[in-house]
Amino acid sequence: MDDHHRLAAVRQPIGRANGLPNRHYTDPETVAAETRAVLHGTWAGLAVAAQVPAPGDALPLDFAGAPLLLLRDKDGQVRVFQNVCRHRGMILVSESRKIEGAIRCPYHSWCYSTQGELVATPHVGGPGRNSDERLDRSNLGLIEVRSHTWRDVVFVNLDGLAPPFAEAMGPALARWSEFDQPLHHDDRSFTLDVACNWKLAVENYCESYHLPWIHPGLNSYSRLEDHYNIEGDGFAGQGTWVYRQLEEDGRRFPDFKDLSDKWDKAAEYLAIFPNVLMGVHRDHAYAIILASDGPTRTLEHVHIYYPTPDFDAGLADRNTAQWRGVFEEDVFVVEGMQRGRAAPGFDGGRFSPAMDGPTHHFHDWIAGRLGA
Amino acid sequence: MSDAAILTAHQADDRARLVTLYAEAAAARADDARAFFLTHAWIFALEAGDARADDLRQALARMGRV
Repeated sequence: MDDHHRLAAVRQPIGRANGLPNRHYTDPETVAAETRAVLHGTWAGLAVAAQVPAPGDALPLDFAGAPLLLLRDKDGQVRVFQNVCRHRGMILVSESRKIEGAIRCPYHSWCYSTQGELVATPHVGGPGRNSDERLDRSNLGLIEVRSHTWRDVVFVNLDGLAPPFAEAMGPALARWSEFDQPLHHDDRSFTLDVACNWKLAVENYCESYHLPWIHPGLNSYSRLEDHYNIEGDGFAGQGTWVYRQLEEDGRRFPDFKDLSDKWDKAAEYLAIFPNVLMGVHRDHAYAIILASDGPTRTLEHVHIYYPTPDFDAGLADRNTAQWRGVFEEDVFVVEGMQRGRAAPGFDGGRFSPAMDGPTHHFHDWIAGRLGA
Repeated sequence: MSDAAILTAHQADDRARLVTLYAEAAAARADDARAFFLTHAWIFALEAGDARADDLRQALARMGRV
């Protein structure tokens, strides 16, 4: 069966559908084509704005094979540029650092402002001559990548062809509009280096079916039957009706302001397609950026946020440790599914119509992006 | 200014010192050589956000070199 027919099988009703074919997890050529369609052609998560907290802060990042530069410009605006000089394509910034004045290319020293403007081209017209009438500097600023920051996550649309962010992500924005409030980043962020394709992390995150087996600690108070599935335009996930706040000697994190009663006990966990995993609770939130590093490796960058800047350090230690433990419990699962994709006869698997709806929703979305 | 001093400043990535040394080198020269060293002083000042960048650029502009 060719790839087109296999992808068509993914889009069948859930009771008959197969999962994505093996090659979408293992084959470099297939994954490269998928990357262009899915990661470069949509609004994908790159990083969080808290990683460049002050004007001039610059962070080079590999985004699914593309060298990008996350930068907070001198006026405080977060921008994303292609991290290459317009002269000879040299990488401009090789490590995280502060841009004090201009970004100077380490090759021939062409200089760019933090807003991307090409401001100096030394010796370009010959020694000591810094302009050349045959070269129009005004057209040679850094190539800026479309970006939009939501819930501190910097989303990028690399090919420039996606609908505006607010349109593309409208349903997710609307669902969590109550949480459009200041977020205070906890520097206890951490990264898990996982031997799997990034999609498997999304697939696992979407569903609650695995909770009693993989996360017995969570299940002790948030049972399977306390969860509900979520499927929307551009996202999928799960919610719980029995979120339990951390408490220590009567201390809790303060709540986000003016939430509706639903959130007294509810919490939700959404995969924002393609590669951002988010969670919201009355007293904290988190975002996980899934950074793809080839077909079989994913870096999971985890960032936790609180409603106020002066959050309790002891509780934050516990909260970070708790989430880290949960996410680490998932590692053997996603790595095991990755190894399973080496089985020649595996047909992409099947879905529980009752329990796997959000995961199938993600597969269906991927197949749709690939033209099936 | 000496070549050794400039090399030392390069090795130390001391941009403020580089601006000073290249500006001194420019002051001791004329015409193309002056523009060459002024250019280096200007670029390192620009990169460092050094307040001397504007004056250096203006000096080059007066020579028709920007």
